[in-house]
Order: sequence, then C-alpha cells, then structure tokens
Amino acid sequence: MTKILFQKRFVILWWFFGLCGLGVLMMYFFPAFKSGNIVSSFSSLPPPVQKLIGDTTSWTTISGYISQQIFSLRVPLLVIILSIYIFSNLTSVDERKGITETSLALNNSRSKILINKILAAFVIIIIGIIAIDLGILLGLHLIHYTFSYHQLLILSLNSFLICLDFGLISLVFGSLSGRAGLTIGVPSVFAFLSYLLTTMVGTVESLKTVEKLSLFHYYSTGLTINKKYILILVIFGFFALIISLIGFNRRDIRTN
Amino acid sequence: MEDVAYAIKLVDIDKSFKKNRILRGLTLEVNQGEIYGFLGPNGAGKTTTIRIILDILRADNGYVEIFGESNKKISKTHPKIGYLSGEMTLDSDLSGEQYLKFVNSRYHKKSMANANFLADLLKIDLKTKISKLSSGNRQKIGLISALMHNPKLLILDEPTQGFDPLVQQIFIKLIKTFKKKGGTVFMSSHILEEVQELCDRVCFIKEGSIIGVKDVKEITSSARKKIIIKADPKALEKIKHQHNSLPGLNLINQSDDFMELGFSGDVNKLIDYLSVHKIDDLTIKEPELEEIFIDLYKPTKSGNTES
Repeated sequence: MTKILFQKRFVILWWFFGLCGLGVLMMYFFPAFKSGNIVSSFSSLPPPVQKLIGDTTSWTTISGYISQQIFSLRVPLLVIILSIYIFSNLTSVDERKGITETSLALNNSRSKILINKILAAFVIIIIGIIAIDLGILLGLHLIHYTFSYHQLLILSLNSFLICLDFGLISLVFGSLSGRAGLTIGVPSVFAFLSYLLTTMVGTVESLKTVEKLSLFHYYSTGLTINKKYILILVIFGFFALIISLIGFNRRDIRTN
Repeated sequence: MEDVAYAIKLVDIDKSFKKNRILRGLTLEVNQGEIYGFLGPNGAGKTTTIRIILDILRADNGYVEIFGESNKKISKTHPKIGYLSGEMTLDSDLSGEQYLKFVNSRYHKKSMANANFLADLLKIDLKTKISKLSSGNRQKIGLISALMHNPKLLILDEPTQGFDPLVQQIFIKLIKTFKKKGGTVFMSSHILEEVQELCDRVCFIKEGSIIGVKDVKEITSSARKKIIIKADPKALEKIKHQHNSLPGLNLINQSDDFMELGFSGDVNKLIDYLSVHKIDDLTIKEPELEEIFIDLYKPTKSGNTES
C-alpha cells in the first residue's frame, strides 16, 4: 500500500489542492447566495425544473448551502470521478501494463495484492474528502462563518460511502475481467443513470417504482445520520469487495 | 534441500484461450540442482507454461508442484523463486533502488546488500528512475530482483533479451555460480548457444506438447560431429568417392575447395582415414543444439513441422 501511495503521490497532491480549492471557492460564493438575489431568480423557473433543483430557500443558510450546494452534487461528482479513476488505474490499468504479473511473481498472493490496492484507494478517497472539508473550513474562516464539525463529518461520511461504492463497482469489473474499458465505463454509466433517476423521481412519478435501484437514493445530504441508508451503502460495498476478491482469485491475470 | 527430488513438477497441464488450445497434457519434472532448458518456436506455449508455474495463469486441467507444494500456496512456494522475463514490466515511476527495496520487503528484508553487490557487478546506477533506463538496464534490475533474495529456483523466460554480449557473459557466470550453490534453473531461451552452455537437460515443446527431453551432454557426445575439410578439388573428389568405406561418415555439402561431412564414431578412425588424403585444413565441430532444434522443427512437405 505504501508503494502505491508513493507512486500516486502527485495524483493525490493535485486532487488535494483541486478539491480544497473548490471548497474554499464554494464557501466564498455563500454571501451572494445568502443575500437571496440568486435564489429569487430560481422562483421564475417552471415548477418541474424547480423540483429538479430542489429546495433553493435552504441555500440562504450556511448549513443548507453546504449540504445542498456543495455535498448534494459537486462533492460526490468529483470524488466519484477520483474513485473510479483510482480503482480502474489500480486494477485493470496495472494489469494491462504487466505490473500485476510482476507483483504476482514476487512473494504476493492475489488477495494480498487486491487488498493493498483497495486500502490505497480507501486512503486516497479519504484524502479527497478531507481536502474538501479543509477547503470548506478555510472558506468559512475567510467569510467569518461557522459550521458544526459534527454535521460536516456526517456529510463527509455519506460522501465517502457513495464515492467508495462507485469505485468498488469499478473494482468488481476490474477484478472479474481486467478490462480498463469496463472499469471506467460501467460505474460511470451507472453513476450517471443513478443520479438521473434520483433527481428525476420528483418530477416523473413512474420512476418511483425503481428509485431504490439508484445508489444516490441512499445518499443523504441531511445533517443527521440515516443509519439505514449508511448500512445499505456499507453492505453494498462489502458485497462488491467479496465478489472482487473471489473473481480476482479465480481468473487468469491479463499479461502485456 | 527439500524432501522431494524435483524442483518443479507439471502434471497433465492443459490450457486454452477461448478455442485456441495452447498446452496439451504437458507433463515434466525439473530435478533439484539442474539447469533445465525449455525450448520451442514462437507460440509453442513456453511463456504460458511459465505463467502457469507462477500461478499468473490458471491451468484448465492438471496441477503444478514446486518443491512438493502446490504452486497455489504462494507463501510457501514463491519465496523460493526468482523470476526474470524478457518482457517484464517494472514500476517505471520508481528508481531502481526504490523498486529493489520494495522487492526486499516482500522477502526476508536482508537482501539489499546482495542487491547492491549485483548492481555493482552489472554496473547499473540504482538511483536512476526505471522509466529513464534503457531496456537492457531495466532487464538488469529484473535480474537483480530475481537473484537478490537467494532463491532456490530461478524461472527465466528469455532472460537475456536486451543484454549486450558483455552482460550476457556476466549472466552466464551468475547462473553457473547459482547452480554451484545448489540452485535450480528453469529457462526458456531462443539463444541456443546460451542454452547449450548452461543447461543440463533441454525440453523441446511444439504446439503445447513435449516432443523430446534430451541430456545436453548426451546430445553433444552421441550426435554427429561436423567435419569441415579444405583441400584441392582432386583430393576432395577422392574423399567423396571413398567416404562410404568409413562407417558413420556421410557427405553433407561440397564445393570446389571445401567439404562438409557428418561423422559419428571413433575419431581416431576418422583421423586414420583422412591421413591418407592430402588436405589443407581440418575442423571437427561438436554438434550444436541449433541443428537438433532445426531438425526437430523443420517443416515437412505438408507444411507442418516435424517431430
């Protein structure tokens, strides 16, 4: 794991600064939202579009702004991209390059190799979330506002789990097939459809029957812990891990 | 030494990729302490066999044992193995030293002194990033990583690909020293001179099946020697007409002042036979593995190779 983190140090560093910067920037915009000028412009939009955007009145409060403006889309979107990229890179890309073959020829079992990759990806995603949190805290300091650490932790935990789960979908396909196209394509399409499903369910009644198929359905941007949803995301991730370990242990390793 | 006499045992290995059958019931045993050559043309299944031994690929049928243990028990088998492939990919964003430190961490963590000794011997700068090294120097790092933890078994797949002649000589010395210390080597190579110099036994594989296992000493002592004679055309004509009188002598090739003969039998009788002819120069060459290889794999009239 240490070797992977060392090799990815520049990727981690750039993502860290990028996400931290986003946090600062988003907080810097808050006074404009608080004044209500931006929010009032949404009231002229048609009701279905307003439903799609969500409750804009909450954007005028610091907690509503952080949960709805930052954590409802921007954080998961960016960290899901990071998560899929990292898992795809550590599984299928390493395999295609022949790194996995060389690792296996050393004194490494397949499970050990995979677990090390997963742990490294965990750490990188956590660093991504921490970067955003630091950016938000720095931004709050700059605009002279405060926000509960506890609530920030809840939002971060939810974001971590949803991003991890999409990354683990990439891991499943990487472990079962070793194909880079699948490790990026499948989780990306699934993330896009999930997000679309969850956001459209308020306007398209018929989607209610399938809304639970979307992982975003279990992603809460509320400021209290939804234990049931967290448990579902954890169980989903756990099964993805088990499938990955079994799949990776049973198949041929792709060689360059 | 381990309880079993063999270092590697493959039993009835089958392997297919989709409908393409690569290995067909491959069975072989590599004795402890020997250097075993694994030869065959491109696509014969050599690399696939090596990858199955290392558990990188999984056989459809059959099993592999390394020093009496299943090759799937990585923690028991792999610490005893050093692996080098001509197509080996190393972590290019690490320096040679960082990579070897990582390899060291995978074993008993006392191999860095050995690694540094080998780096000095091979004249490689370990501080340079692997991505900036030439393919030959990358291969040197691979060789160090294969030898640094003092394995009992070396598995080499076209190991000298990318080495210059000087490094090839160092490589041959290293392998001979490794064998002297009781190590076992399983190697595939296209450089038949290298195989002939190093190997005790060679296994010939064709289309996924073994077509022969031969003792290299036996090959060189029992097979036909090549006799090259330089003489004036008259003398050569005389030798040509009389060559049937010496059992074991046959004509291979002839030009105006040059004749190539094959011979198996007592060399003294050959010398006696030639002494009555006036010849300018005589060369007796040991049979080469290459000839046996070409003989085994030469295409037949139907277009297939011959076994």
